[in-house]
Amino acid sequence: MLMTAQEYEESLRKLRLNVYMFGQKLDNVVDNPIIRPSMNAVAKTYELAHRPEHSAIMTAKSHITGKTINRFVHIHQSIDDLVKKTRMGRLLGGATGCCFQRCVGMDSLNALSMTTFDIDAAHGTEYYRRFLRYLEYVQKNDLTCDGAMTDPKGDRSLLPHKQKDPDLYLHVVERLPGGIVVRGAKAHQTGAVNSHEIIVMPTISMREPDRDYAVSFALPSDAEGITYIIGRQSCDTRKLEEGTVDRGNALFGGHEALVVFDNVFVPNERVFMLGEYEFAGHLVERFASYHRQSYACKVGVGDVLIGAAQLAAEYNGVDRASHIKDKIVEMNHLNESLFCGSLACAASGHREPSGTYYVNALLANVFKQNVTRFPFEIARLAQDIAGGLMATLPSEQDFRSPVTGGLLKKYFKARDDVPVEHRVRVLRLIENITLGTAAVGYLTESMHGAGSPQAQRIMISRLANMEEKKRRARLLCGIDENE
Amino acid sequence: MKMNDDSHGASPKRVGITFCGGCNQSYDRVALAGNIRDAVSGRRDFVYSSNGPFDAVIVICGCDCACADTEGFGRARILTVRRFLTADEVLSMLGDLFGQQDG
Ligand SMILES: Cc1cc2nc3c(=O)[nH]c(=O)nc-3n(C[C@H](O)[C@H](O)[C@H](O)COP(=O)(O)OP(=O)(O)OC[C@H]3O[C@@H](n4cnc5c(N)ncnc54)[C@H](O)[C@@H]3O)c2cc1C
Repeated sequence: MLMTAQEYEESLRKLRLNVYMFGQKLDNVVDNPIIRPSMNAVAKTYELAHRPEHSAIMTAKSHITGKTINRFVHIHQSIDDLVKKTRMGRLLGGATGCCFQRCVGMDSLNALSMTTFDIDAAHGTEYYRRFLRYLEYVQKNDLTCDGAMTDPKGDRSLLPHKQKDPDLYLHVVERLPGGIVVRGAKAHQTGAVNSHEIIVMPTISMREPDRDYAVSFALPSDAEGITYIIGRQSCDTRKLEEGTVDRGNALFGGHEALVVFDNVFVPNERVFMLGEYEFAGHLVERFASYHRQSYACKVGVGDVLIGAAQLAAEYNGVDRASHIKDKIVEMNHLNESLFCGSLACAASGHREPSGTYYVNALLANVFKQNVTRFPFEIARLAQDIAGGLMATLPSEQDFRSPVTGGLLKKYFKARDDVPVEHRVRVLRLIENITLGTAAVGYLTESMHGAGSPQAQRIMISRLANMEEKKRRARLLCGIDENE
Repeated sequence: MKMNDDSHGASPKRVGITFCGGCNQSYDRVALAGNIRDAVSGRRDFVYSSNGPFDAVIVICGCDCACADTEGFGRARILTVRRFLTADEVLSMLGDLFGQQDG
């Protein structure tokens, strides 16, 4: 089934989520003005799947049922699937100008399709069969899944079982005949309250003493004992103000939440790893590589930001200045370099024993390392081009006021044929992406999402083929390997 | 003239339109598709059809990469468009594909 955007919204209304924001429990999550733009962004992933001009990348054929499904619930069956995933990220980033939240669930499903298969091969367990049944349910209902990897982690220098508070990493507290009971939390959960399901995975490699932390499972997002506490975003309360100009992006946004599991029961058929600690790192690595590829979305947001910077230059009458043109070239160069990285790791992917296609992990890490840098430089250049007004503009109310409106329109007029409001709107969009709510996704998520920069450097040092590089150097400078 | 009003007696060619995914389109593909549909109505050589089988399929791609999947259209002739053209230009190329004059 392919849900429509409308059906997606209706389906969220049926969830009984336990959500807190600004110290209050929310009765109506879907219509909450702070959260709703993030729901709109996820809804776009449903809407575009129905549009003929996008369905080629937004949909796929399920390898288990043969039916047409949304690509976000698909298990990659070819290099073409991996490439289309990259393209989908750019498309949706450009369509929403923010984090559309649904990639993390797709990456969790794909990582689990490999890890459950490999655990079964090593241990004779039945996780893969359970996973496939779960996947069929997710595909049949076209669900949005939250991918929950990051634990709060407490003292970073201590292993999970060494933490003073054992709940700082999510763990199994009881094993019952029909399932397990878990306690702990997952931090920074993207799109958590827009999700039907939450897929939990361990956050680091583990050894035997941490076996109770080596756990992966899926639960309905409104399962008993789960609490969501919504994270703030810079400028979030502008969404409560009258008007849309000061929001920058009037339609879309993202959200993150702390998700707390207070003695939550997970039935056996939804458990995908239980104590196989040597596979915790396997799952983390696979999820992380896929998720690093997913940062193609930032290229789409970069498209919006570059477009906004160009408009700001045109509205200010500086677009013909050579340094402005050069800065726009540089922004495009950086943005397209990012696209190259995501495409490259997809195009050089391979088939794993489970049949799932997996990205080239080295290139995915190289790409994500660039993502931790390039959007910051693109944002810096956008701010340079925009001028200081993007950070000092008075409010929309002041523009509408009969007392101050005339003054603002007089003194903020730039090129004569451009309405002041257009100038203000584009500057607010640049503010939104580089300092406001969308900067959470474009900048901080680029830095830490899918792992902080050092996590990629560790992977690059592990995966770079150093022996071969040395062999080639020795060969060319005449060093005999046997001497 | 009605599109089925074929004074030459040959039935009009059934033309379908499909798209690439549009990840980074360089022009408005949907507008072009609309222009083509409008231009086809009133012609006697081509008729727009949303369902196959087709005699020809116009594949509207957003860039030179032209990554759209063109399999699954049987024996239909494929016309790939990679940049913005007028509907008349597209239909003229389609005519060339069939080796016939504009209708
Ligand atoms: C906007 C946003 C969205 C996100 N969405 C999701 C999501 O949907 N699902 C999800 O599971 N996670 C999500 N994340 C979490 C993301 O994966 C983490 O932020 C990331 O792994 C870093 O963890 P941290 O935030 O706890 O930072 P820390 O781990 O505290 O890192 C801070 C710094 O300390 C360093 N450091 C940490 N530990 C060590 C150590 N042991 N030794 C040496 N140096 C160390 C890091 O390299 C880094 O430089 C999201 C994050 C953001 C910002």
